[in-house]
Amino acid sequence: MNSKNGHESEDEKGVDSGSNRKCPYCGLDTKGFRTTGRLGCPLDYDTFAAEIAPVFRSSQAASLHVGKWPKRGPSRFEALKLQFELRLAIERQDYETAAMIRDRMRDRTKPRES
Amino acid sequence: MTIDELTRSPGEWLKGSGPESDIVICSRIRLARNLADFPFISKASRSDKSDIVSQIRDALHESDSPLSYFDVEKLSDLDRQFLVERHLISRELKEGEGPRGVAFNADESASVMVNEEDHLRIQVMRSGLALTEAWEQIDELDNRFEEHLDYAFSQELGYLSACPTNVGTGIRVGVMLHLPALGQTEQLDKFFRALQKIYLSVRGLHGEGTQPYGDFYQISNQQTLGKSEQELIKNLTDVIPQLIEYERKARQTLLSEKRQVLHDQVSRAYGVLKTAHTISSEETMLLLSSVRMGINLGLIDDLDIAQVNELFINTQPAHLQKIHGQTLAVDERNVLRATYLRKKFQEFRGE
Ligand SMILES: [Zn+2]
Repeated sequence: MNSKNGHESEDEKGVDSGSNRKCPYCGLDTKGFRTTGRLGCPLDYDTFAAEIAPVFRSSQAASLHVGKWPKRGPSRFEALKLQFELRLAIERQDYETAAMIRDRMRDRTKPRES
Repeated sequence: MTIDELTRSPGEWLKGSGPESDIVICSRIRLARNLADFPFISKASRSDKSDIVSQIRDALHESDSPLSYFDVEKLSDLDRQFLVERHLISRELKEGEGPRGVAFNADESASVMVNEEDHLRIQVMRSGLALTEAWEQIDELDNRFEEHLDYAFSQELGYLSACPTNVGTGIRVGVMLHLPALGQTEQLDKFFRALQKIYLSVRGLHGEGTQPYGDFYQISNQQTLGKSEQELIKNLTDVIPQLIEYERKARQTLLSEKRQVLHDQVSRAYGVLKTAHTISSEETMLLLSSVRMGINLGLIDDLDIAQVNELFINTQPAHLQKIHGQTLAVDERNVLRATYLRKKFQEFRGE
């Protein structure tokens, strides 16, 4: 999630990892994360994905969770994240992204494939 | 339950019982959990923190939890230090700011720190080598909380934590070992380096950033993402029996090759503890460490492990002052500690 350019794919590939990004929710910026190594909110795992990737490579077994799941699933957090992305898209009048997010929100209410 | 009542017993992890308890002091598992609706602690406002506290207290209440909650912000410095010494809170929580607390059960085997590095740090401690039992207990506790709380959890990254080194399972599995014989050999460093290669870390008695003291070591997992809780627990349960075996062998070697020297060292340690008139907590711990080994090797026969553990916990600064009922300066504490030890040894001998 990136409030400045709205291109998620760029973030995921770490293309703009040199720039100083800021989380629109908690206010943490790239410099702040690099200084403390701590994140400011759950959404930062998306915002600072490029900075976190090397931490995973050096200290984790893999980059995908394979352990316990909450019985109620990730629903609450995923829903919050979508609501938040939707609000940001509407704020910057990016209606195309907003429509995509609404589709994703609708998809989520369908039963999960196993 | 009050903090003062805790002074009456040493708590679950120092019971001195459980499998392999001559070497494994205790097994500990903790889970890092955060609520979905709030920023992590570093970006949480005072009102966020107090909302987090009330959500968690409500969850404790609604789940009929046997854990009692203590408001750490309101506790005295002495009480906070007392809880650190009992391993019920971390130094970070003690020195933190704003609304924060800890809830634990009567035998102190289960505890939950609120607003430490993460919103919740759930912990279970068991005496001896008992990681499977600890996992069963903490898994159930976590499930009960989850019925009342919305955890920040993503499909890809699992439980989201303030530090990316805890993300995924959010689990830290650790055992605290007493390795006095290996400590006297050259092998220990080599062994610890081998552990680090399989992503296990070695630390001192009080966790992160502390030096090993009195030959007590904590060994725990470093990875939390990409492996299941069971795999991470197995990493430890595969290697700990080997370490126990090495320590047992090192003890037997010491006994057969240096029996006199060892007996002398243990007896002197015991002698100083029984007769000193002023003694620091560091020296007490080193000497008790020797005495503990002496008991396990049959060199001391008028004292048992449970009694030594009681002395371990009660001679720490905050415990000593709680038992005495007032705060004291360091040199006063050292005199009081020596007096306490002499009195206790008389009691143990039935005098
Ligand atoms: Zn953030």
